[in-house]
Amino acid sequence: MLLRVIGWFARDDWLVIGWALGIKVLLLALGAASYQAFEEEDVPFGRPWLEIWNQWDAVHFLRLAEFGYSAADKFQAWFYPLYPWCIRFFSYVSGDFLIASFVVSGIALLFAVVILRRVAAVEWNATIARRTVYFFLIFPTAYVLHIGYTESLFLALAIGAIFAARKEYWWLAGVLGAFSWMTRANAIVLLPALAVEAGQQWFTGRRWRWQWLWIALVPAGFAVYLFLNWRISGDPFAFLRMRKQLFHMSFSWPWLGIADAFRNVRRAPNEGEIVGTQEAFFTVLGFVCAVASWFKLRPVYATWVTGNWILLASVTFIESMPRYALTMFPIFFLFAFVGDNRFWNAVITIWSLLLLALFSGLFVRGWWVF
Amino acid sequence: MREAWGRITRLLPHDDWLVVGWVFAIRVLLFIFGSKSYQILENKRTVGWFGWVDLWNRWDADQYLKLAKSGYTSASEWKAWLYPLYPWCVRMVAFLNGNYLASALIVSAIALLVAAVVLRRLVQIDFSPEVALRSVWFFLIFPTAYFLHAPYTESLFLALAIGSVFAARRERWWLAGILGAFAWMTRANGIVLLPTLAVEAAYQFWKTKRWSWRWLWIALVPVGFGVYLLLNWRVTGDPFAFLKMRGQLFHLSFSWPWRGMGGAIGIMMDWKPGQAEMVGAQEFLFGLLGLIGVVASWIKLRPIYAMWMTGNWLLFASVTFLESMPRYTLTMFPIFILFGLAGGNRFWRVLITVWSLLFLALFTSLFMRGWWAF
Repeated sequence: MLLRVIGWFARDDWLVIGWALGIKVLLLALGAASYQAFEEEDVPFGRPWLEIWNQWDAVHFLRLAEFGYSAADKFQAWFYPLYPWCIRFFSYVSGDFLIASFVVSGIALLFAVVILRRVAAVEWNATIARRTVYFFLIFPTAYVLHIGYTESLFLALAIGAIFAARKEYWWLAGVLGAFSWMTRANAIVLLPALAVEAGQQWFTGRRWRWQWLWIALVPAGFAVYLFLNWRISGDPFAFLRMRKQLFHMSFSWPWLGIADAFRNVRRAPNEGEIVGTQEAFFTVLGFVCAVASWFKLRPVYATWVTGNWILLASVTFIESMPRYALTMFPIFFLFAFVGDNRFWNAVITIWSLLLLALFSGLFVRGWWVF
Repeated sequence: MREAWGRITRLLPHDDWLVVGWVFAIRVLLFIFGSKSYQILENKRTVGWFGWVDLWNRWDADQYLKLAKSGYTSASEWKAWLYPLYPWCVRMVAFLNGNYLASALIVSAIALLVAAVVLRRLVQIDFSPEVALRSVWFFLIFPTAYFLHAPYTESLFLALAIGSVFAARRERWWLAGILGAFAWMTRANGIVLLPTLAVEAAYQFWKTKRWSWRWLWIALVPVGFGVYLLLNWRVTGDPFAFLKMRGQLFHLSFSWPWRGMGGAIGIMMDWKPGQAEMVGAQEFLFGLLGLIGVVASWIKLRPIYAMWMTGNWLLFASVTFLESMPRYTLTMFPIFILFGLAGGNRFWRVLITVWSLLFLALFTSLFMRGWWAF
């Protein structure tokens, strides 16, 4: 029986599953230790270890899972629905919404790491694939992969859609893409990304395939979101208005947001660091990777990184770029190439983990960190 | 130009250069991290161009700088409690640049470079270059590795102690004795070099069945302690004043190891949450890690390393109150050889790396704020 279960996955799949679970345990332990040390409050082992991670958006997702969308809520239908619906579904089993959110993120993360490894193994080799997953799991904002945030579910679906397209299961790419767009707004980038992949397959095979039309299924996820907006606020495009109201931001040229981030460096020291330096740094990192991806990666990945970067940076006020950079997953392929050199491998590892600890420590204390 | 560069790179093997690169990279990243975490957590900017350097002048560092600047005095509460070699080195470098804090950082930096390179070479005597590199990697990222860069004695002590062990392994016993003496002039646990070097001599005798008079160089090691006793006598009139002071300053005395370990568990349960974490849980965890390392070292490593581990652990744990165990564990360097061996498995390599760096970040953040972090 055990052998049969082990046989479901390749050895390296089990390795990345082990890494994901091991890092989860270490992060939870760090969160509790850091909270106790800084806040002088006891965090006993058990549920309190999870409660300290229930901050910012996680609170909203739990509320949506528990009570559903409501016109009386300040956020109305701002948040995409798939993640809170998944939590609600799992809460029927666990009887606890918080635990259900960790279970959903936990399972999604396992899928995400296994698929990411397989994608990289298909494109390159097992070593690059392992390193890709490693840098993904230790990225400075990787704590959101384990908690009540949408990132892990979104990445499992988006990477799954791209992997399916690479394997030419276009119906699956369309279905996963639609679910992906039911999870986060930046799934819109799957449209050009999958189209570029289809374009490349046409370019190499010179043969039209009707299966490519499955890409048209992707916006079905967005349609669910529009429908939800219409049901809650009477306007399917209410989310655009809300973005301005809630976050004081609207579409703009990327350089305006970036210039603003650099100006924010001059704010009070802690804000200057988080809202200024770190936002600007991760925006520049994303840009560098977007450029590099056109030289080093297959166009589908370059389109994904570029599309996401343009979408996230083309606002009047750049917000949460370090977290959004996590969803630009081909960055980790690039890290894995660079990590072939032991020196740079060490530098990326140290940079990632020191910041991961810092951001995690701030997050559990309720400070805003992306 | 290219020829000169080639001549420089040929000075050391490729792996030594990699280790040197790691040391520099970690130092730069840790200094940047320290300054950033201070700005964020304290909501204060560091003052001036070199304000970030001042953040490293905490706890014992301050004492060492005072000693380097003004020397030992009976008027000080600490009298001759701290060993003299590190502050003397700082004083020597300060003659050149005039800045004591910068000098302390330079001494620690040079010592760390030597320690890291010698550790790599030492491990490579018994194991593969891969294990040697991994050992240095785990050493450099250990959760309390920030002390290797701060004005603390750890890097100098480790350079000397690892150097002494390396010299003994290479059968340069005169050098082992001299470095051992300097090691004991740097920290109290230089005492453990006595049984450690003796065990290596005995092991070599057991292997070759041949007596070597050079082993008597081991007797040079206590000279370092002799200097410390002389200093205590000069400052307080009593060469063993340090024993009395330990009770006065830190309220601790020798005891069975389980008493200190049990005490840490008690602190975990009863003290305020912050202290329960740092003085209780972390002290206990690192005490336990050291004990596991001791047992494993007798199974996996040459006796000289097992002896160093055991002697140090007994010395640190045999007190009424465990204090700074996470920092002291850093000096039990064969633990990194064990990590290097465990790191042959990819799962454990990643887990040890993640654990080390996450807690290195946490402890560094606390230390930068001037909070007690071992």
